[in-house]
Amino acid sequence: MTFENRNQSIINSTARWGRLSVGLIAIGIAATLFKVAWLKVDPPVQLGDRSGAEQRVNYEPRFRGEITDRNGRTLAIDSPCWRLALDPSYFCSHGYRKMVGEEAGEIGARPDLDLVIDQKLTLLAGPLGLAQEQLRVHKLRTITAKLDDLIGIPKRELTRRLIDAPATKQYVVLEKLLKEWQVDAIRSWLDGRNIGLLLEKRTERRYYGPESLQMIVGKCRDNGVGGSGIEQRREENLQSVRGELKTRRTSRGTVISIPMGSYERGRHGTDFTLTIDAQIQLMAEEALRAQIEVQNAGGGRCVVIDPSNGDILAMVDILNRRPDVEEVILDDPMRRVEPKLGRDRNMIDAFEPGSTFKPFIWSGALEAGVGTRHSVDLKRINVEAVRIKGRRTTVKDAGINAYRGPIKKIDTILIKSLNTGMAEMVRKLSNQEMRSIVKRFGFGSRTNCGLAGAAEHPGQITSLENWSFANTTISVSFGHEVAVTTLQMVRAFSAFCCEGMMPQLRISGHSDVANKGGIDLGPHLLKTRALNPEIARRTKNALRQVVLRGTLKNYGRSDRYSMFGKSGTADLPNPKGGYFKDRYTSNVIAGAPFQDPRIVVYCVIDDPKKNHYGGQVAGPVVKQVVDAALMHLGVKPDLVVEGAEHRASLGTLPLHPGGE
Amino acid sequence: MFAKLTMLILGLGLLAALLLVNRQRRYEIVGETVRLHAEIQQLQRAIQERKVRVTEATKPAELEAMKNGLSEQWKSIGDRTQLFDQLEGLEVEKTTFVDPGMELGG
Repeated sequence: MTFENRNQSIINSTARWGRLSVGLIAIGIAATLFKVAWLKVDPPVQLGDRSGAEQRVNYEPRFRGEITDRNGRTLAIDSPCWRLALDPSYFCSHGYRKMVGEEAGEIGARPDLDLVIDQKLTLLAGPLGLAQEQLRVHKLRTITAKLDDLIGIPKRELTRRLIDAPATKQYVVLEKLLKEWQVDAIRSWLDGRNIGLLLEKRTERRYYGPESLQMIVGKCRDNGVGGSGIEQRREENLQSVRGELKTRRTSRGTVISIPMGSYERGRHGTDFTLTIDAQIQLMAEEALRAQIEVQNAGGGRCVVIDPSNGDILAMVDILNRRPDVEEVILDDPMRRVEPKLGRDRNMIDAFEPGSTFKPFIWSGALEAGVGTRHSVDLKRINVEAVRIKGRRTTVKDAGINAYRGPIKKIDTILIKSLNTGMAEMVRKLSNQEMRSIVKRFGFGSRTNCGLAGAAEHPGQITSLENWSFANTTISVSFGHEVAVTTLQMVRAFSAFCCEGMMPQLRISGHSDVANKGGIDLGPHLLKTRALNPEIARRTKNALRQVVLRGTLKNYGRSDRYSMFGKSGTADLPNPKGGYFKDRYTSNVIAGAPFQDPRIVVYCVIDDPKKNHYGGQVAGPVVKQVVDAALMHLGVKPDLVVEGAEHRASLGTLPLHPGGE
Repeated sequence: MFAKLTMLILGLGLLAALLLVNRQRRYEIVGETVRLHAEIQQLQRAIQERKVRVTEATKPAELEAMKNGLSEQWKSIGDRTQLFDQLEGLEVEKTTFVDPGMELGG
């Protein structure tokens, strides 16, 4: 090999190696560039924490469903608000706060004590630590003074909250509900600075409507979960689901990415409509409250329903504690603590209704053949007290002026509310027949109106084994030895309004709700037959006569609407056994107008002291509620009263639309 | 060869630049998404605030007060006491209306 050839070989080899090296370097640079680009475009999750980026969560505020009455009037709504909190560690440590609290009561309240605290701090933290703490305390004094100036929360109160806050708390809440102007003032002062103050979005549940509605609507706990009433029963509908959006950001706050699956969609709660009419509720509440005061009663209940569909329009329960009376009405201490947590006695407490129960037994007896297959000896009635073999007490008629005949028709027994007549009527009925009449009207079973659930009282009926003619059949015929709830009574009374059909009561599921979609309609409109139509009409006619000629003619008779109903006065049970001789439960139930009943009103007044006859005590409330509610519902008055010119033009319906 | 390598590097550089542009645009889109999300939340909050205000403003007591504060001309006819006072003071004027039936001798 010559020298030139050898040189050429070396040069070629060097060039090859050179090209290879340049190629490798180029590939390396390209790979590095690619990797850098890849890391920038789609960094692996594992590197997230090391890249300086941080994850931040944005919560979507979601609002609990609104509760409205049947006319769309808001009863409960979530109101957006702000909460002001402070990070105490930004200003002073817990140890310092604790010392200040023990020594001085509050920061800066007694400057002479600062020296003592400083000495203690010097021992604990040294001079530098002391200087640091003093700087923080100075900042704290400045901020409390500023907040006092800006939003009007007293400086002393703010410092007190800071001192009292436990060390485990990262934030101390300074104000739970800030007003908009307060938020604006704080924001403009902060101007984006971070000085340990936190404005947090919150919601506050606000309630509207009459006071007596509180028990029905209920209460929402601080954690946003329903705690009582509709708020609890309809938690599934009303509850909202908070959404969140997780983002990755640089330390400066610039959004880098929204990782896959980091968005969770929230959901507002579904609005919920009650069948309650807030206006009728208010009218009933006012009328009942006034009468309880006039009669110096221990309490009262009033229920208004639409008998055609079972909608509960109003449900009022008032308890009145009288200092000068030894109360026997079961108390409700929770109501005094928080009215929303009260026990609604319309559903929970059962009582003996007295004579208001007679229409059910009277009509049931007619349907069982009393007066047709089984004749009733009308001459035996009402002449003297009836003695029943095996019964402890005789059956006699009561009343302001007890009716003393003549009795030509069986209807008179109901119209004049004769206990002796009822006893004669049920004489031919077997225990089983009698009990089935009571059961047929829904007594002894819950109304399941959608409010109280299992807590609702089903009422109390004697079992067939313990049922006896002398004591049970006779007593039940005039409303004793049977316990009912006000809701059961209005449901049963609806049978006289709807040709013998009883509706399923409901607190939700107003027909308009169906159009909104997505709302639980509650129980569907169900009706069960309690009576045949002819008997129901006959009973309704007799009940109209009660208003015209019977116990309701003086106090429970409307001059605008043709009412039909019944009054009752039951002895109040003595907790020690037996009954009081001079304490009563006065109640009246009525429907109106006669031709096409739109409402049923039931009022019970417990233990009235001034008067005690049902018609006299509860009659005025029922009359007042019937008048006001029907006017409110736009029902044309169907009675023409002489001398009332403004009503003369309203129609020429007869005074006695039942054909009396 | 050098030219090929230069082209390769330039090509890769261009690719990397495009990727970075793409990244920048993605940042902008993500930022806009987050901003819009926050704005929607703010609007929903504002809507809820308005609902509460409407509820407060339409409470029966508020409506009653508003009704009482209305000037006479905005009141319903039944509530216009002044109108009836004025009407009571008016005298009946002679009319120029002629009943056609009378003119025809009917």
